[in-house]
Amino acid sequence: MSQPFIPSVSLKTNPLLAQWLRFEANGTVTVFTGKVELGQGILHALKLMAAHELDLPVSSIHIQEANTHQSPDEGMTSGSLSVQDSGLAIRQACAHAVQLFKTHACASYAELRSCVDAQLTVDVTVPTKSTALTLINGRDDLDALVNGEPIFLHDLGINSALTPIKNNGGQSNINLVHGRMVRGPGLRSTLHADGWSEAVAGLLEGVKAFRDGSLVGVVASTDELAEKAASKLQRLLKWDVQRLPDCREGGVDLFEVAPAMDSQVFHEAGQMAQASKDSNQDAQVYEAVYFRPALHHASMGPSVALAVWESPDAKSGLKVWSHSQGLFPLRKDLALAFGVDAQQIEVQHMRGAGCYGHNGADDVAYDAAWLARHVPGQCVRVQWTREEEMQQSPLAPAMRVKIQATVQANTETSNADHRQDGSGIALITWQHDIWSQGHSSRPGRAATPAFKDSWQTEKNFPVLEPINVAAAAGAGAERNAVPPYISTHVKVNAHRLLGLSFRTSAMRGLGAHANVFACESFMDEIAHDQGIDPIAFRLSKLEDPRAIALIKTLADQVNWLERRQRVSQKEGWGLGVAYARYKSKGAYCAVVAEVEVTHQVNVRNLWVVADIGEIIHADGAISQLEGGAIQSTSWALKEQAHWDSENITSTHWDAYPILRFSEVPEVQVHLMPSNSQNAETLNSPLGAGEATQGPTTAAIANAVFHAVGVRVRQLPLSPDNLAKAALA
Amino acid sequence: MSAMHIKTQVNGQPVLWTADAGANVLQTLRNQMGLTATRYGCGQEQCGTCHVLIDGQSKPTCQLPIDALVGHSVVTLESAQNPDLPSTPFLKALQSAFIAEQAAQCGYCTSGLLISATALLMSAHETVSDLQIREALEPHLCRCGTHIRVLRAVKKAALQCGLKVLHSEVSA
Repeated sequence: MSQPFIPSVSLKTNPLLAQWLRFEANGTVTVFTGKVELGQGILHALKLMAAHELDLPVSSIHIQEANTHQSPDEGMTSGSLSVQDSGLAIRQACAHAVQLFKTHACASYAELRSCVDAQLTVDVTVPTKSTALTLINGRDDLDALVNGEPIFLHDLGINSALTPIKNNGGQSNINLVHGRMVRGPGLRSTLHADGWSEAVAGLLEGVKAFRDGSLVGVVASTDELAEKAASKLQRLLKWDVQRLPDCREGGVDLFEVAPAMDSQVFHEAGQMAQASKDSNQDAQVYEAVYFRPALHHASMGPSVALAVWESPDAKSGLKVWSHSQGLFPLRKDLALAFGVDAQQIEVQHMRGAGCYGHNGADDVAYDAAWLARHVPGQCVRVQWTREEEMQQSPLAPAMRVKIQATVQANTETSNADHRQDGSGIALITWQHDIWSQGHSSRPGRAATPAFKDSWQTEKNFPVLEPINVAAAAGAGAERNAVPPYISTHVKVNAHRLLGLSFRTSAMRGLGAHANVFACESFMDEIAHDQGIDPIAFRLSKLEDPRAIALIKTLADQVNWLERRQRVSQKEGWGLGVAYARYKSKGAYCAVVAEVEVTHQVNVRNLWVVADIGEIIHADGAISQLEGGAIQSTSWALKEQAHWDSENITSTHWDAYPILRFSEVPEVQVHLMPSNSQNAETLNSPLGAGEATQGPTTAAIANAVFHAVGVRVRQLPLSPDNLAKAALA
Repeated sequence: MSAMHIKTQVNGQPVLWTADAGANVLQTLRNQMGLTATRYGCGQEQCGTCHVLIDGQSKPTCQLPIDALVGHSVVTLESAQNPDLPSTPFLKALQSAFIAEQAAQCGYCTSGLLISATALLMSAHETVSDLQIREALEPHLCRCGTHIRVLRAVKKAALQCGLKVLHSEVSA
């Protein structure tokens, strides 16, 4: 292994062997991780890494689901980092265990139990095995899924047989009740308290209603009763509402109506101010504006949580079951919201429906804990409705991107051949400007809680303005805004829109989706205008050999020149390409899209090639890339959130359609063969989960231009936007 | 609120449900019977996660009042344990094919997909086409993007069940 001396981030914060591994009496090994299953199959990949390193059958490894009392704190499960962070930490801990196993001449891992000191630090100098070429086992959780077993948090507590808390006899002595929230519209609203007594007077026996400031909720013995009570209160109670800005095409004008803006230079290379000296009179200036509307996470299962305060005064002993992406950050904000010590709170992860970013999981956990505080000793289950999930969970922010570039003949290589292959022209300047709300409202990052409903209570916690995380953490709106292409002077400006009454936060890829869509569309526009093949143009402006090899492989796979020629002879058909290296330091991905434009855009085929470094579990990675490409197709073709003057209105699937089976393209994924037995040439693993989001959308837009000669710069590529672009 | 007593058949067994008037089939299957395969996704018959077989046809249950089941039989994913049901060989072939093709990510939509695919294979005569499979799965949403694998798995199961699969290729 080429990098045994650089411990992963997770190993730095959790350096003890016992934080990662426990050797059981029966010879099996329990692996601890702070990363959580979101549907991406990460627990399976981690299990394979441990089994491979320990030389044990996969069935001898047990992965412990994350829990704040037992698991290493690894922050969020986000940013395609779980293999790098958790996987490499587990691999190193396992390599150390193997060394101890040999030193102590153990017959089984059970014997290591007595040899491993609880305070033993993982030795980061122990070499790990070099490659993992044999890891082909399928996910072992699929059996439970196809049999419909109760493995989702959504199944916990729905009846007495599925109770979350069991004493030794297997029977729960804790009563389970069902809760629902009642809210005013919008980001924040003020309850007319004078109607309260009358509204709650008519509630059925057995239903309890609670109010704290403008936050209202009910608990009842059954979900049906709670639902009826909540909808009755929803009808009777009145709120003062903070108005939303007019909805224009998913937020196309938010950059103009935002009350304030924080503009920062995110990146500068060369000297943009001096650039005019480098350009001659033949220089051409290109400029274009692109737009990606606000989107929903649109997870299939609305968020759910259970909570109980075990102490009678509800000041300690809070236990929460959550499908959050970050149990420790959730615990931190629960402690802030309730004014208790974080050590008094235990958060247990259990899987939810697929999660693609900061959805309602944390918020519903707060709701359950808040309701449970009113009924100490009783466990409260809160299952959000579809409408709540769409209205209460954060949106992925609308993004406007403007790119300006100066292009001129390359004085070093200006003959006709060079002109054809792209090396005859040079990018002198490249300026990328982004207008967007922040891309993170996640818990764990501020001095006050991030839960929307906590802002409604008497404690009067402030509404948190969404932020962009630092460049080192992958940035937010600015993610992938720095172009991968050689340009003499580059500048990226980020304009964070402030004071808008939308809650926005992280969704798969964050700013990378819109930035790559813009950058790759723009490259296509320049290539077309200069009469250069779009792949040749990109190759001439790239230096990274892995990027070049990737794009050449894709071109070979699709037989690019020949296919593009053939496609262009068929009316309405087009072929487009796009490339990006996720976060500029993660997985490399290039996509070719084949479309047929009729009254709408139909995506027929996608070819994806990715370089994810060392491949841990090929099928798992392919599945992530393929799924990402299909999700990105849905974003590109169909999706746009909308709202009225008071509230988000894209609250059900008819109002927020996503891609259906009849619209799904064929997808072929190829992984660059980066595995190597040679430690010197083995590239470290890179997460695959978000790499296709940007390139897929951009490749589709470029294919649409190839098909019908219409450059659509505003997403989605809907019939409306297509028609508008055709008339522009 | 008046309680109702409903006689119906679930997974081949007679059951007597006692529920409030207006209760829906989804809530009753999950909360009263603990049959967790049938899932809540939208409550508006728009996403497909709550489908079951009713007399062999794939139907959503999130808005279906329980009294609509009188005299009808319900089959959920949990029925795979019952070898006497006509749907079981199809369901089992599909379950194996979904595992073989690794046709799930989060798996929240999986139950509904298996139910509609079972209904399709049960009703197919000798052949099944790409288009028919896509049409049968059209009521089902999948946010993880496993569609291609699901289509492959259904075709694999169809072959396993002795059906001929008609392919159509869409490319320039």
